[in-house]
Amino acid sequence: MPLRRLLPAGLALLLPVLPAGAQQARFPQPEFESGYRLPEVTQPSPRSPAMELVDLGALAAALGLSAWFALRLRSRRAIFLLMTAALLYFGFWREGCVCAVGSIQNIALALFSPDYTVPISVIAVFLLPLLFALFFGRVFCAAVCPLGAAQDLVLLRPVRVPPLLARVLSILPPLYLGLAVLAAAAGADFLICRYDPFVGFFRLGAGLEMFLWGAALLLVGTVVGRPYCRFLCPYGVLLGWMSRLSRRHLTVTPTVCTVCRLCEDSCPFGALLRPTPGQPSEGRRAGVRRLALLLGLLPLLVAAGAGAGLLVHAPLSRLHATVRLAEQVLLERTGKLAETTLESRTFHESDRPVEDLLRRARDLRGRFRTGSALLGAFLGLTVGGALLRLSVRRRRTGYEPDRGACLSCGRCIPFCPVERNPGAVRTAG
Amino acid sequence: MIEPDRRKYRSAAAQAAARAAAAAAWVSGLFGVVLAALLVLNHVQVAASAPLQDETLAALRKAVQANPGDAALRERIRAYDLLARRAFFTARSQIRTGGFLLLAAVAIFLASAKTAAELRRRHYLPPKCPGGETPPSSLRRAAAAGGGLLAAAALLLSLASPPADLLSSPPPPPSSTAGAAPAGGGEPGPAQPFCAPEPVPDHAWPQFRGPGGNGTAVHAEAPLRWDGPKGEHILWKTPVPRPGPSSPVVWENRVFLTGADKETCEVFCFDAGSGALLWRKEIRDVPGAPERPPEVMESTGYAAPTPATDGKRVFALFGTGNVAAFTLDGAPVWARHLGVPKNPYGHASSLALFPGRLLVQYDDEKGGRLLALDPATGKILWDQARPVKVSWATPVVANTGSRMEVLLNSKPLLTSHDPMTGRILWSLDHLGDEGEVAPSAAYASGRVFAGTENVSMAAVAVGPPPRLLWKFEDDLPDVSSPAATERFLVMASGGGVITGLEAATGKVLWRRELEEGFHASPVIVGDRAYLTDRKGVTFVFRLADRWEELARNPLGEKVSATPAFPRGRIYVRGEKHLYAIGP
Repeated sequence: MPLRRLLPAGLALLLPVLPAGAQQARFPQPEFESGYRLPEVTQPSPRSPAMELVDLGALAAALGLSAWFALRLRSRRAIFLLMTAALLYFGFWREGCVCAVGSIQNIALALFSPDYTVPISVIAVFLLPLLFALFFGRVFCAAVCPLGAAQDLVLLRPVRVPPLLARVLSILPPLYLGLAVLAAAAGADFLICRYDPFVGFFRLGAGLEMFLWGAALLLVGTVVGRPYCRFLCPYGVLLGWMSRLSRRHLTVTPTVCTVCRLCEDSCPFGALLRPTPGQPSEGRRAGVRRLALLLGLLPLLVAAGAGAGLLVHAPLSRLHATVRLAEQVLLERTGKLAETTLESRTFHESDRPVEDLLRRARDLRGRFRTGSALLGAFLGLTVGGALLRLSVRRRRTGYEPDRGACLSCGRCIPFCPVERNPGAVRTAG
Repeated sequence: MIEPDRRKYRSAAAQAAARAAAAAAWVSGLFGVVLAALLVLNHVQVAASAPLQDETLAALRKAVQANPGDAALRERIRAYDLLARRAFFTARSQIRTGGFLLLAAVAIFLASAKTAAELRRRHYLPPKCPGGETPPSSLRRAAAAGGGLLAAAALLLSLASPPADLLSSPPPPPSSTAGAAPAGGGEPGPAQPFCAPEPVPDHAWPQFRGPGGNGTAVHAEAPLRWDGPKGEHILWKTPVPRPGPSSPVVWENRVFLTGADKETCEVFCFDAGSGALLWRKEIRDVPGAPERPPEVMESTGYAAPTPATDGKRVFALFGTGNVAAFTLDGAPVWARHLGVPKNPYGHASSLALFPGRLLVQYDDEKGGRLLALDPATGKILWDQARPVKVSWATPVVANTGSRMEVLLNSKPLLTSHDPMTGRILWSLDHLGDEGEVAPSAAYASGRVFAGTENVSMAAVAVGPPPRLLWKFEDDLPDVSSPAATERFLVMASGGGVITGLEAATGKVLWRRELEEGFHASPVIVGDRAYLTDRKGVTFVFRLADRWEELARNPLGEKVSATPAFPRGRIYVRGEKHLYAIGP
């Protein structure tokens, strides 16, 4: 459809026009001779405690509504409306901050840095979606997360990502999660915020790279359902873990699946599992042997991951500005680098001893060494866990959502002709 | 049953609604396209514009610097500045408003496109034969492949990133080329380890007055006696194609010189073994250089600044304002024009080197400047203004115990600069408003010695804050620079007097009045000092409490340049020839 083809073009044109806020202060301050004193630049005041409570209330209410719409009302339309409202409130009104996705970093920093105290509101923002996921599945992703909503709205002509490619790419969210936790715990950077693809749109102001990154994701998102949520989102990893254990979860059919197959193409996120009876099965002994082998391999995978993490601890430590500065200063002082940077010039002018800088950088590199090994071990465990999960046979008599991957968006619900009233089958058309 | 195509059964209202939604999508989409194009243009214009750097404003600023009292000019600058700011912020405001409009257009487009799509949507009809499920074994392989890719990426990252041991190795110890830790009359702070540059190899004499420009060799081996007219210990003698008072610099088996007349500025490279001229390169067609060189005094000429070499390139500066770099084989690397120096005698300050920086003192009548150029590209890394009058001294790079400093003698200030940024670390008014400064400073053991003829020679404990230790006012140098050790200061006047002072107190240890005056600077090699007078006679004397002349060596040719002292040899530039002296 021509209209659908227009969307990517329209989004592409959105790219370069929004970085108004990205403009740097290009002009030096005027030199007043009249005695006029420039007003002091002040930081914007933080959100008031009352508004923080309002935000938390809105989050809890939105989560509750999302769960109700998905599990009780079973209404895709209601979920869609809630999602739009959440995009407006949590995205454009609250400008995407603090969001549950980014709160991972606050929690990580608070856990590893005694100097940082995480606000209770941020803890609540971090925990509430996880708690809801534990009880009702990923209802946060369904209709509350503004990042997911932005992608959901632009999805026009979904294509199926090949399952093998999706499986390969599924390693990215744990990697991003691990890197974000490592960088935050070491006090290096808030990577999730730095590379937030949509906050620039929410605020109508960001660096050009941020706009390009977000627009690229939205363009891809017109045909690939929620690419950030599925192949990058670090919070989605935690939500997926919780959702797998959830007490209740959205179902395609309200009662018993009749395997009419009307829903089999309904999920643009590849989260719908087919019934198993039709699938070829292998012998029980072979399955058990593989499971035992993989269980034995798991420690090796963890160790290999830790080793790979150690290999990259030095480059990863350069995420920290102090390490970068120390290396820059050393290279400059030994004449191996002629070009100075703003940071190195500032350091030279500060009269701080180089030795202090080096000591701090070495200490940070040591922390990254440990952190990188742990990150590698975590990724090894993730790969091993995925292999184990794929080796366990589960029987399904009907179409079911994959609890870890399902975003509870409710798209599949209208496709099911089964009525809640047992025995009644809705006639299509 | 589900119909494969429901369009013909759709109500007229639904069809009309679908058409309306499609039309709305087209209209909003086209509006968005046009708006986006306009905003793109606006953004490009704003991004490309640098209104405060344009030529008109720069010219106005220069004009107001030359004529600070011109109120009308200042008002013009203010008006221009305001115009530029207003244009910039108006453009920003337009972009922001346009951004909102575009968001609205995109929202309408999305809503209408989705509505149209929904109204025209066909229901899914499952195929009779369901597609095959991806076998778990393939999924396991894909999961393992994801892990493998991560491991490969980690390996590549570790191989491609800079070495990790940069931080692991301890910082190099302080260099011994420019003196030890502060002591004596200074107020030394606690010695701290820091990153000093690697010592210059002893086969090299990389710049005016040797490593650091401090008049001290890093070895103790130099010929004691020679006789130019008789050819004793003269290894070779070769004519220099063009005149100039600049001194030779040496790197391994190459000796570099500059020479110039009003038409041509050249760099010469001689073979240290035979004296053969290996190559000569003319500096020409430098971008920005005027066709006519500035007027200079004949005795200064255009080739007064001594070149410098870092072992990879040789750098040459001329009184025309051109500076150029060549490889040691003579291939041009870069050349740039630093502006015509407005200098009553002609520019004569020599180049100095710090790792990663080519230091250029570029004082002229418009004000004092110290520049650092990137040796690889010639790009100006920093340009530090100095509140001094024009002077002709060369920067001295010294390790003052806790850091590297660039010391510059000038009127009225002796200044110390951070070699990394050019920032003035400390300064001291040691000359007042008297004299003209050509002698460079000398540094040893926490003390800087700086002065000029008719004013004084001052000893200053390095700062901050600097502290004046003593002043000496007799038989001062006018061109020649002093040389110092922890115990002694040696200087030579234009009138022909060599004076030895006690470095700590300024007490005269000895004074020797000779027939000829001195332009060349003394060079300390071990416990000896070498000093060549204008007639070409080099006096070798011991650094001691009493005058102890070791040798008096004629060259047979007038000398203004300071000889070069790589290990075991001396290279002297006479008026017309370059000499190599050795055992």
